[in-house]
Amino acid sequence: MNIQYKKGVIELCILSVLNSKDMYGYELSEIISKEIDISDGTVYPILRKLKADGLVKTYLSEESAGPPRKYYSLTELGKKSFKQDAKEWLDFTQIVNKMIKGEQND
Amino acid sequence: MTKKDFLENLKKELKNNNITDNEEIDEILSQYEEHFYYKIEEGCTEEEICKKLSLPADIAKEYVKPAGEVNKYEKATKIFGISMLSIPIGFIYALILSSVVVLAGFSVVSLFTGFCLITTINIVSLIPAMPYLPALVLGIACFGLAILTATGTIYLALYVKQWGKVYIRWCKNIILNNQYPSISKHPKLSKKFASKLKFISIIGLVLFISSFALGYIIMCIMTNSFEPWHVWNWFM
Repeated sequence: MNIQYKKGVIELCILSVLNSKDMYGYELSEIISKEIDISDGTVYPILRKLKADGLVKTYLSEESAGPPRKYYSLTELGKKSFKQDAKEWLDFTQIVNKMIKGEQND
Repeated sequence: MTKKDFLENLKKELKNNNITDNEEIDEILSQYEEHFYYKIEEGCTEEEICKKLSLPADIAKEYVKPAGEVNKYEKATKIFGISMLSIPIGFIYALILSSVVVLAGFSVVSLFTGFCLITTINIVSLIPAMPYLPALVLGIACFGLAILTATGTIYLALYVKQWGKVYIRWCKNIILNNQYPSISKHPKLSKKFASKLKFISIIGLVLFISSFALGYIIMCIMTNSFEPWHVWNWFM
């Protein structure tokens, strides 16, 4: 699948995953790359952009073993943005699916 | 490539892409250190991990903010900061602006005084008594002073206007991440206008100094004193 297609939707996938639960970067990266075929670490720059845009915030959590984990969670703006983007995506894909399957009524 | 190579390369590439803030670089690198840590825990070798990540040069490009793009949150903070800063700066600017008005006023008063001296129309009885010859010469000195301060007012006004522009541009660039070139601190005058203005100010200066000195000498000769104002009882 076209890499540009993927990049566009990964942002939405990240918001969607974080909407259900806070996660640290590696955990999130693994979940996304398990489902979508992208290079490891593709989500890290996107996470940083989402933080700069104020959609996610971070907090550190000390671990008994290993380095402190930097957790990501959605801000209020992020939650709002996710709801809107998700709706737009669903509406959009519905139309695209219909068109691909040749179901449009003409 | 080892973890160390990867991180060092990434750091170098980030700097190549104009990401120079050390705190930002450390934050980005720590994310990859975390990645290595957990992958090694899972039993991967550093070599394998690097292979699955993109190349540092490509990763660094992903961290570059598109030129001029400013996020809403950062923009709001900056606008707030600039507004707060603009309050005291506005006061100082008003003060400088009022000095233009004062200088212009001074020029008008000089012109008026010169006019009174030359025509001997003593409207508000502020012109001290003196023979017509020194009054005429001092009147010319006043005209010289009026010309000098008038050109001074024009210079000052042009500079004040320019500084206002410089400040507004500076604020815009802070809010919009340096989208515009900065403005010169000196107003841009056409060569013809600048040389004319300079010529007129020099005439004003020469006229003022020479007439004033000449007027004083005439007064001294007429009264046989270095303090003609006492002879003519100006302060009685």
